[in-house]
Amino acid sequence: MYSTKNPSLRINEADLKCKNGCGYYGNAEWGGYCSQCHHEHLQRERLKKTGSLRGFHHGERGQIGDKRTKSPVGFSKFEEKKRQQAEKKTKQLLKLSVFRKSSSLKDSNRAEQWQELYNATPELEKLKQDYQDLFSSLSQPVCHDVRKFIYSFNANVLKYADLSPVEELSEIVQNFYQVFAKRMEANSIYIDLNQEKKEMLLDYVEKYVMTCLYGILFCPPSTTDEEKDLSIQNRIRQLNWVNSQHLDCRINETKSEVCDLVYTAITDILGMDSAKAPQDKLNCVVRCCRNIFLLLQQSVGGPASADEFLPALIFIVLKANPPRLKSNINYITRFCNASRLMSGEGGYYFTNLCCAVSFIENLTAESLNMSADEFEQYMSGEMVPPSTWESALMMCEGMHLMYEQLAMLEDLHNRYTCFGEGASALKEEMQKFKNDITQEVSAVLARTPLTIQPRKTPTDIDSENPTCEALPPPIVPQIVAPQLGLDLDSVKKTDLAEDMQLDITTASVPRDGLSLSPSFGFSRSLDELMTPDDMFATQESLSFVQGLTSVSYDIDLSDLSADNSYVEDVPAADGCKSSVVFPLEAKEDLTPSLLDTTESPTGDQLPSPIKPVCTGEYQGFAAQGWQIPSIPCETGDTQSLNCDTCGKTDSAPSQVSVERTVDSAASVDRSASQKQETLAKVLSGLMTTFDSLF
Amino acid sequence: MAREYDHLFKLLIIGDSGVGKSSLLLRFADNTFSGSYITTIGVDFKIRTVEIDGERVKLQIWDTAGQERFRTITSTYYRGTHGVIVVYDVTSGDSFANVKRWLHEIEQNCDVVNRILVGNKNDAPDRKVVLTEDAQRFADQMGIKLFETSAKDNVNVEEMFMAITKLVLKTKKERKERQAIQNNDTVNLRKGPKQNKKRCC
Repeated sequence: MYSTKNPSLRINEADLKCKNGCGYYGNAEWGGYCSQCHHEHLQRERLKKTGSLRGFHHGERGQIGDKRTKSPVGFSKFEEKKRQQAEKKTKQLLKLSVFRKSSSLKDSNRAEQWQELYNATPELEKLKQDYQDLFSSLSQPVCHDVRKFIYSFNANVLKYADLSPVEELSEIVQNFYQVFAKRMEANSIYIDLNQEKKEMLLDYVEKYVMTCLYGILFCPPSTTDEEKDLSIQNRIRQLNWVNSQHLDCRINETKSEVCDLVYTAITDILGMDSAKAPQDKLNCVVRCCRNIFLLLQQSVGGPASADEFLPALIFIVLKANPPRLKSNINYITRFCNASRLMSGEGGYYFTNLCCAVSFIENLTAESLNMSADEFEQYMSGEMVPPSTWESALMMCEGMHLMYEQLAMLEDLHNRYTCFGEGASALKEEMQKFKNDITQEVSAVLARTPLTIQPRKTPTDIDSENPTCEALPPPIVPQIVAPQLGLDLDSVKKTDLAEDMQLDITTASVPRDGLSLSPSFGFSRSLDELMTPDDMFATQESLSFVQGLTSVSYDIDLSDLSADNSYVEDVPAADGCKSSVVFPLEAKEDLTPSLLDTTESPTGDQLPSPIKPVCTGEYQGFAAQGWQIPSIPCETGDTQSLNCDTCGKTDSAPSQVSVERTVDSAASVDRSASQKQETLAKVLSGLMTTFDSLF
Repeated sequence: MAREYDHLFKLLIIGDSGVGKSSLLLRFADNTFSGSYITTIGVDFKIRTVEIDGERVKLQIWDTAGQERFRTITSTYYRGTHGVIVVYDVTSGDSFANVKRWLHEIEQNCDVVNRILVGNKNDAPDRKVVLTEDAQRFADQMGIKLFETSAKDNVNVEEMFMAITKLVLKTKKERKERQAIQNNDTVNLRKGPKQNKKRCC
């Protein structure tokens, strides 16, 4: 079957079997025999030749060729000899292994190899873990014996690794499996084990040994495996154009599920190279083939027949182009426990795989039902057949991408909705917060009617500022400071407070504020005084002074006359505060806003919510603390300020206020000197009040 | 059954799909270039023997598929790899941005391995988007060598493969020294190299 010049896609079940007709699966690598017959055959061949162990230099391909050409001679004749030979050999091997163990380790090269042997630790560790259950159930001597056996075997193989052709190594390994199996039957320490455990143990030993020796036994340099790998790889690449129609297999490439299965099968067959133990590699083949059956089922819409399987497998192999395909196949045939390959699912699939590979190697135009010309053109790449595979590949790749992107979109959408929910929640919260604030503010407003005060007249300070700038304003606070002494702050505060109190009381401002408001205002003014900005500082100081003056005069006035004076007085006081407030807040910006809001609290035309909030906060703060009254005063001030600035010239109101305040005391002149005088007076007045206070 | 090489190294080429991994390999192993684009499925491998300081080094170069869907397979090929060549496309910023991910994948799959960064398709200056300085800075940061190659024009390809081979060889020798195996004479410095006997194709 394999050697036919014109391979067909249909292979009878019988063709898969051993040429000898023993009922086991045959294999191309074994010249169509099953492993046993192949082995016997090999022995015979060897006997025919010189019988020397070194008779295999020319490599395995040549050998197979030999085998094929030579008709099998009746082998009963050789049975006896073969057996003798085998026995002799095992004895020899055992002897050698014992004999050479010590010497081999002396050899540095060996030692190095030995070390490398156990370097594949991650795999070995994993293997050990996988079989932990088994070993925990085994008795100590059994484990010990197994380990010893593995060790001696590894040493044995290492010895022969460089010297012997791979066929011999294969025989050694196969022998080892048999010896170990017999040992388990014969040795008394294994007597407790049931068949299942024995098989597991055999499995473990095989895996362990092969994982260790993988580097040496896989694609050994003595063989031509690598060349064959490369040639089959190139061959498959050349056959890139072959599609399922050519192979007459019914794979529905355009179906997305089928395509997925094709990829899974490809992945499985590709995975073969990364496994180390032969049975793991075999498992990869089995998995791949199972997937092929599945995808055939999908494509055909019913149970797939074995007839359809081989073409599909060929198709998969062509598309997968598994790396080191030949090496892997050879490795499995040589070192997998032969009994595995002779029967069972693994054997069947593996044999099929070998068939597929040989089909690909010997593929001709006829086997694809096309003319030789056409075939040549395709092979040389001159022509590219209309291949559904490529387009299907592209399409499925596109589909795959699309699915991935859909998933991503879904994820994005979810995140977006989450985000939206969060945003709306936040919005609600904000709304609630706003409502709460406004409620609270209105509550506070209701509680403290102070807010409604409409006095906003004295922008005096501002108006006076320009004119006053000629004056040496910074000096004034300096003067005040030294005069007042160290405890100026407190003094001032108290003083001011009292002044304010007075004012307010006189102004018939409702209860609470009195002591508090002034102090509040004052502290602010102090703060401002500290600000680095000169202009502001000067302005503030000025204003402060003015405020002070006004305050002081207010006191007088209040003392003298209650109701009449207060209207003006209060604004004056406010003015100082307002000017104070100015720089503290958003300096210029805030005051107008404040004014606006206070002036027309209901008809708030400003769209921005910030401003009302600001004022609200303001009031809220004031309301919360004991400083409530201070705010009303401020608002009053700002209002007054506004009125002034908006309505009249700056100087006019200031004059008025000054006049009023200074009324009794001195001249109402706007000149700077006069103001200085008034300042001095104020200061003196302050001093006197301080004195009287203390 | 003497081996006709002194060292056997496995190199892996990784990088985004379409950056020219297969082209680099084809250029180095077969000295050919094909403009047509055939997606690598799974892995491909090629062999070339080179000579470095009188030692014959057989390089087994594995070319992996860049597509996401083969990531599971390609990751198994990191095993036993001596050197990794991370390729990006100088005309594609995305492929360069993904280099970090590839380096991360190397870290996950290998313990100690030599790496080299390669900006391929460096043959059309007007289409170049990944600046050499940027790439160099990144490479310095990661402590790896950078090469800008063109498989199409055969620029720097040989040099790049030689550089990674030297790196791997150096690492191997250093490790050997560290292991302090008594006999250093196992390093086989044969004269009269009958090279490339097994060279593919």
